[in-house]
Amino acid sequence: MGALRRVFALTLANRLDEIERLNEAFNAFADEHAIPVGARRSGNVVFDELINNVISYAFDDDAEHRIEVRVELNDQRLVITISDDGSPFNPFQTDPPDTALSIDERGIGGLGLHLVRNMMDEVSYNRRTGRNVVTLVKYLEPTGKQ
Amino acid sequence: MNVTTQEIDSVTVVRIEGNLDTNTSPEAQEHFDGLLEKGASKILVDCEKVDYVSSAGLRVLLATVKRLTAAGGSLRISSLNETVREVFEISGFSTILAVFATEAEALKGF
Repeated sequence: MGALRRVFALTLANRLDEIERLNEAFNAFADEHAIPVGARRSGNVVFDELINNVISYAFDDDAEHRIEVRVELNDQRLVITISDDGSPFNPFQTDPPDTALSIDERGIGGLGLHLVRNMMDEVSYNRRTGRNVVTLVKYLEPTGKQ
Repeated sequence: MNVTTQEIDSVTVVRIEGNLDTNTSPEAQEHFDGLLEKGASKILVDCEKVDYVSSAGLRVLLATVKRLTAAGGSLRISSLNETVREVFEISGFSTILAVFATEAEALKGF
């Protein structure tokens, strides 16, 4: 079983309703491979944040673009890769929001990426052959060897 | 996402089933706006059947609590699963919203 590559890949168009299709497909993959519910939900949140971000800000034309998503399950790690051909943007270089402000002072700007950075165990960004490539790793709790 | 609303004494209990994310937030916002326009002043959002909340969902809750408190009302929230609680903690929402373990606890003294 250790030799099996457990991979899930999906190509999305740059439309917000594609996020729902991605999350439904990811949930089916998570069920199939018994991914713990907390890690699965963290994946749902980061997909919502990052794909929304790409669709809303990466493209300066009205053309259709392809966003590639790949999820690989290795032993105790869930490795997520998201790539797009939009303007170069490193989502992990943004300033974190001030989360200590009162209700009246609070806004939502920057909160999505702040969630991604904190809900994942490793995050990285590369610009590769004209594409933004974001890689995220979530460690899964050890299930114990039988 | 499904939303059901029930009046319990003077509290409007809003039970959300599904996710609060990019695709469901516009509908959730409309729902809360409708309650505010009808003059609801105590709103309890029960999340027992909420799977996850992203920043789009937080935006809806923040906008609602801002309008509600400006009008002299208040909002409570209950029954967060572990991931939603984590989202609340990372974003600082657990300090700006009144969070309760269960709907029954949230209703006490509201």
